[in-house]
Amino acid sequence: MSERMEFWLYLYFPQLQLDQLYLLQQQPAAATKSSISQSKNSLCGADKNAVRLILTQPLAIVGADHQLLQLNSEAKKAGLTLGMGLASAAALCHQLQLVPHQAEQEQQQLQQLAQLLYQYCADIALQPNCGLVLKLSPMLALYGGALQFWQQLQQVLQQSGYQYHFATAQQPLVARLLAQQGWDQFVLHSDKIQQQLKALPLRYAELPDKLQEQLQRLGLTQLGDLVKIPQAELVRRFGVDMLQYLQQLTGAKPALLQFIQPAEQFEQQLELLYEMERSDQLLGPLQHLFGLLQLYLQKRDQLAYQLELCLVQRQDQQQQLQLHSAQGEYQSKDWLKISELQLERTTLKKPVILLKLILKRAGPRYAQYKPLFVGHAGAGNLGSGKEQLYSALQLLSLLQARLGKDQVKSPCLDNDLLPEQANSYAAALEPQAAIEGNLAAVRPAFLVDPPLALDPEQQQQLQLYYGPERLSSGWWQQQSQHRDYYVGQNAQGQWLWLFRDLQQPEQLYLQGYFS
Amino acid sequence: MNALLQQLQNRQLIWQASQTEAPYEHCQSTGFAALDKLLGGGWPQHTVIELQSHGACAEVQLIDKALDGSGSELLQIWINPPAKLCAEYLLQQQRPLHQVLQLQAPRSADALWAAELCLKSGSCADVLLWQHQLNLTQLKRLQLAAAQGQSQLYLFRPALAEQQLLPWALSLQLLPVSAGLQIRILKRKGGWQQQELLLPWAELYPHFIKPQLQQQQYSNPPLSRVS
Repeated sequence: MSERMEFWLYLYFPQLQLDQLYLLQQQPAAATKSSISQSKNSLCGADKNAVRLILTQPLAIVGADHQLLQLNSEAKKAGLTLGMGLASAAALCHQLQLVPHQAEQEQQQLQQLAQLLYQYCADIALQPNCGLVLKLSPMLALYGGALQFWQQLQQVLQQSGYQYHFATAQQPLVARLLAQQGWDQFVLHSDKIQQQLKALPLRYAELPDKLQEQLQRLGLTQLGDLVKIPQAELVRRFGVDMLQYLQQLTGAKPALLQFIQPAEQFEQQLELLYEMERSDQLLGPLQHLFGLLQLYLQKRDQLAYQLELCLVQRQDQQQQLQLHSAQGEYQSKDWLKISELQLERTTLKKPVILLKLILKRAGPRYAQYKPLFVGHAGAGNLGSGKEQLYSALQLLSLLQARLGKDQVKSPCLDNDLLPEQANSYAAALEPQAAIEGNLAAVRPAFLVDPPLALDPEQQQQLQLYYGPERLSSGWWQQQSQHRDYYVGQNAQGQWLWLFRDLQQPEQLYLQGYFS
Repeated sequence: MNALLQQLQNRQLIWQASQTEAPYEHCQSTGFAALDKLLGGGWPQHTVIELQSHGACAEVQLIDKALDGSGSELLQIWINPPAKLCAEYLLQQQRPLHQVLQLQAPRSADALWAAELCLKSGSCADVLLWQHQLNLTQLKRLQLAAAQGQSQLYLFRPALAEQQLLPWALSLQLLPVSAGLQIRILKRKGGWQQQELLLPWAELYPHFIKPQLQQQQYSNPPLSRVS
């Protein structure tokens, strides 16, 4: 019977900020746990506080309206209660340590918890006031029963180290009310839940203050009393708000929830255990990050093409490295090789304290074919059956990593008549558009750019063998160039490609070398 | 005594006159009959070949046919060429431009590293490297890489007066003279050195030097054509 019904689990974390202080003290070098502590930066404030706070002494988190929001056990022993004003708290316990409440930080912690639980449950929604609501019913089939699922969740929650209350119900609102009450029961019997709900005091029912007062004056103390009264009567007296509340309570209207979607980007950081001054020391920690990347990519069946590596240094300085792979890699060893080459030519300005790896560009994985029958190619079929250590694109990535992206390029031919403009460079290994027309017969292997004017003495020693070949260009743009090209040999026996400009026919220019 | 000889022979310290013939396992024709004859078949394959010259005297033209024969599906790498590459020239050689890579490595160590990586990658056919200095260890590494990746390295360097003798598979000195290119074998694996050959320019540059034209050189182009 319980299979067909919808069930929700509500998790309430009453003291996230306080627990965080204890966790940070327990593991001061929580550095390598990067997967959980994703946003350490924002917690630095709390971190500094933890240094001077004595956690074995009474401690309280104070909200903006000077009310105590979270108390540690010592503070409770001293007689303090939640919601107490600051003045009375100070009167009761003069050595009370106070920490301002940081709602933003708690929200981040909650989000991290949600990400953590997402590994086990598909539908999770964030709730105001430090709560998470999980939809149980679709997951039960996967885990083969509610209890197994709950054990799994408990294990995760215990590892996270935060205190929590929980409750289950058929409606999110009911589960929420019961969890905030601290019911802490995992039951899937609607009778029991309803029984508990009916006994809930009205002041915990999350009704607006004004409404609560009105109900109290009517002599209603428990939620059960409210449910007994016919709905129409209540609505006539208390308005539409009451109707919505009751509908949510009975499940007549489905709750509006926004389930979290895990971030579709990879961004991991790793705090180093000690400051690293040499770039080769970074490879060990980097391997850990690349391992996480590999897991991320493998799950999504993707390849990474571009990564950004931030080396965060002291005093908030950072150096950024762009890692490229033309072929796309997912394996940590391949990325390690590329980063090693890039790090070799990087000098660290300051010791590094934190590494951050961001996936910039990824794509679907495709099959990378390798020839099945590899062997020694005979002299006859060179190149057809070679055993490849790296493919052309892998080779390109490695070369670019060490030499720099601009130092590796392919020549390309532009549609122009003048040799110095027609011959240029393009991105490496990218197929280029073919240019129509016949190729010129005589072209040297190397070009001198810009053309070099020869002095008269050099001109005297030249012997010309071939020419002229006339190139007239640019006359349609008022930049006309008329050149006669010759092939000549100088006194050293070098073969030169020369031209004379028709506007100044005495001057010879060196345009290229035959080689 | 015999044991000692055997030991020396095992360590390849003894040269025997019978080793002179057929020094290379695989040869590729150079495209010039006379040069093929001189080298005993052509360029040795999968190794490092040194070409010494002061540049611009047909040193690339000499290996042109060999580059052609490597097929166009593999990469051709030019490391630190002395000037900008001419795309039209490469297209004349039927070489797809996107299969040609030019690397600029200002540091000599980087250039050698790149050459070694390209050679052993197995995705390159030919690597052309312009490099001044090379020592024995570096040469050995390049040779092993070339053998591993079944690729060929052509090393271009200026003719230097005093040089350490390195165990090249083949080392040629190129000297331009008026009649043609004088090719001299400086070092050859398992062969005699100090052999020379004169290759006429007309054979090297058939597209612009016709044999009959070579007589009628003129030092200045006729100015009358220029208006």
